[in-house]
Amino acid sequence: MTVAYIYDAVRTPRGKGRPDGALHEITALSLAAQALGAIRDRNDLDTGMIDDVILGCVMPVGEQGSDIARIAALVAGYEQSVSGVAVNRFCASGLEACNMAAAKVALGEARFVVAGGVESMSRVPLAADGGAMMVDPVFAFDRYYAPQGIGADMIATIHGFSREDVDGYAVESQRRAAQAWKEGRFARSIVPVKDQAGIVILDHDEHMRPQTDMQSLGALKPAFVKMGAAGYDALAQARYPDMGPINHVHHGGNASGIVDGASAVLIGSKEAGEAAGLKPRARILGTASIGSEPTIMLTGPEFVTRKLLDRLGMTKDDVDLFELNEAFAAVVLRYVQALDIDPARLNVNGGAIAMGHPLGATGGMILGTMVDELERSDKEIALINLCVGAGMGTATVIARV
Amino acid sequence: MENFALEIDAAGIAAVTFDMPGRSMNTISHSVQDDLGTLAATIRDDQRIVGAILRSGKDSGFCAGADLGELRDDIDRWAAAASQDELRAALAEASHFSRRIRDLETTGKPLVAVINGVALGGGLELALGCHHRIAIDDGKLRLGLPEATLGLMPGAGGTQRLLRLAGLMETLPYLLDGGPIELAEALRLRLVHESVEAAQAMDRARQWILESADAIAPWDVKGFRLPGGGPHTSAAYALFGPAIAARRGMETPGDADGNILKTVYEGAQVPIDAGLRIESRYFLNTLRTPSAAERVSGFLSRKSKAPAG
Repeated sequence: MTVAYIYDAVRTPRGKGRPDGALHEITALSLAAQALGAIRDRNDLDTGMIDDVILGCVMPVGEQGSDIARIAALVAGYEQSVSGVAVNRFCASGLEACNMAAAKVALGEARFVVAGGVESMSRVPLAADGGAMMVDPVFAFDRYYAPQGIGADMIATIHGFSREDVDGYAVESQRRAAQAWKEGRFARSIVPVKDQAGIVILDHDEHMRPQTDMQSLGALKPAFVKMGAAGYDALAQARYPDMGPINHVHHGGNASGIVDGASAVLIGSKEAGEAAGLKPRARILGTASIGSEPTIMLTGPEFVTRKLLDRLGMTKDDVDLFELNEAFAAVVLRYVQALDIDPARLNVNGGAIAMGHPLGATGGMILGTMVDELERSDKEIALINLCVGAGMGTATVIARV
Repeated sequence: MENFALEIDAAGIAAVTFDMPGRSMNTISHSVQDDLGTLAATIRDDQRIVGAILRSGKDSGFCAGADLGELRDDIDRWAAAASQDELRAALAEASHFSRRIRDLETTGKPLVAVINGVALGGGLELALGCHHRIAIDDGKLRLGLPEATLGLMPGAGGTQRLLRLAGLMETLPYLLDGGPIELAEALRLRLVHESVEAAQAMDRARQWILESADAIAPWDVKGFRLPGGGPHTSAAYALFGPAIAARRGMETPGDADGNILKTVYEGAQVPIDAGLRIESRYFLNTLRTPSAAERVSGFLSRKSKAPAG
């Protein structure tokens, strides 16, 4: 089977996902089109060689609805021959888009695919897409649905992470992200977002709070106490009778930030790269997705990592860098605990707690971050993964070329 | 009709008296269900009738709901259904009462319920199918949909009509807890439209018929919208979702809680006739569970052993 290579990766900076965020006045379509345009321009790519554009988008309604990938490709000025598809695997949508791109290349369907994602959380809010999960009793009642914030607090409770543990992780995420920005580690990927007049409106991750310390986080109230009291704590305890009372430890400061952004990753075959005169930056060794217990919802990374490494005949010691989306601090702490991973090799440049998690875009962003970091730190293998709604997990292993 | 007496006055108003022979209390027996079909056809087709008033001939009350003795046998038959044809036949039986109420609701002629004493379960459902509901306020009124207390659920429009009167969130406790509905609450939710003294009830009912312009339930009026909106609103995400969770998290959730919630959720998104069909299917589904048979049997055996009075 054909090997899929990563030729390049770009991302927009992440704007605060609020009406006063820098990207609130920029449409999701514009964010996506700017990312698609940038990856074409800097590789001087003939878009006639691109056989598909796959964009993750978790709230594919309103302005993000109706297959934003195809529309963004056309708006970006891609040849009309380039098809587009929007995909939704909740928080791993962007990585799933890249994994699907790799599969299309491997199967010979595509020479190049541009994959990534887009999410304007300030313009298309969380839950805008509705869905059965939260309110259809056929799922919510029979299968014990709880929101992910409850799941994160359940992880902390069951696996013994205190408020201090999760806040400590968040402080470290902020420190690492600040250092990475200071050292220009994201410089190669970042494509500043331009406004309607063509003027740069955002060139840095706006959500970061480098001054964060244990004291400032300690002042924040846990976010899911009220939601738990409304019924979800009882549901969680019914599902996990041995858990005991839920220790609500998560809040806005130790969970991923709500932000706007887009990502684009150029994935293609060796032959396509040669024809386009491009040098591959990384090789995709393997991809995987799993399902795990849906009520706790966010423990999938452990299982998807095991599944993928097993299939590749690798162990965790073969992996130089781990990247796990920082949905909630306890998700990462549980991953470290379950797989006994050296924290120094995990999320080395911080993550979504500091910089934000633009749902559909994130997978492409952190994949690009690892491509950059393998080169910068002269490492070989990186594993990228995310916890995913309804108990899933999605992962990708790449090797530097 | 074995269980209903019908008198048409000079104004064309039919006074229909629900009075099961040889029983101290009206219930929804098979025979009553059959009569309701005849009654609906009579109201619809008899040119002399301009409107009808449904009242009870029993001092004990309007109607106490399902005939549990008969239902116990129904349950066994329905639970045994295995083939598609058998399931269809079971659904036809299980939805019979619901469809007859719908017939009464859609004759095109106004129908008023005069409710005295006990109007529980199927009794209240029968009243809810009437266009106007007058309660006799003599301290003996007992309203409610107590099916859930027996591990069952309302199956004759109770979930759908209450939902369309009270909205998604207010409906849930009445259906899930099955507790009594006080008169003041019933008036606020329009389960009953007015309360009067016994002596005035029939006059008031006649007056309503003569003065009412049409005979159509609110949910049959074009453009009807569910009060408070359906389950796919931000308000429902904030309230209905946690309400489901709270129920799931109860130490001993009711056997029918899941099916009641499903009926409300699905029924809230479709017109009344579709909602009634959905309710009938979940009703049959609920009654086919082993726990339903056990609960009804248990209730009947407690009742037979209880001292008289």
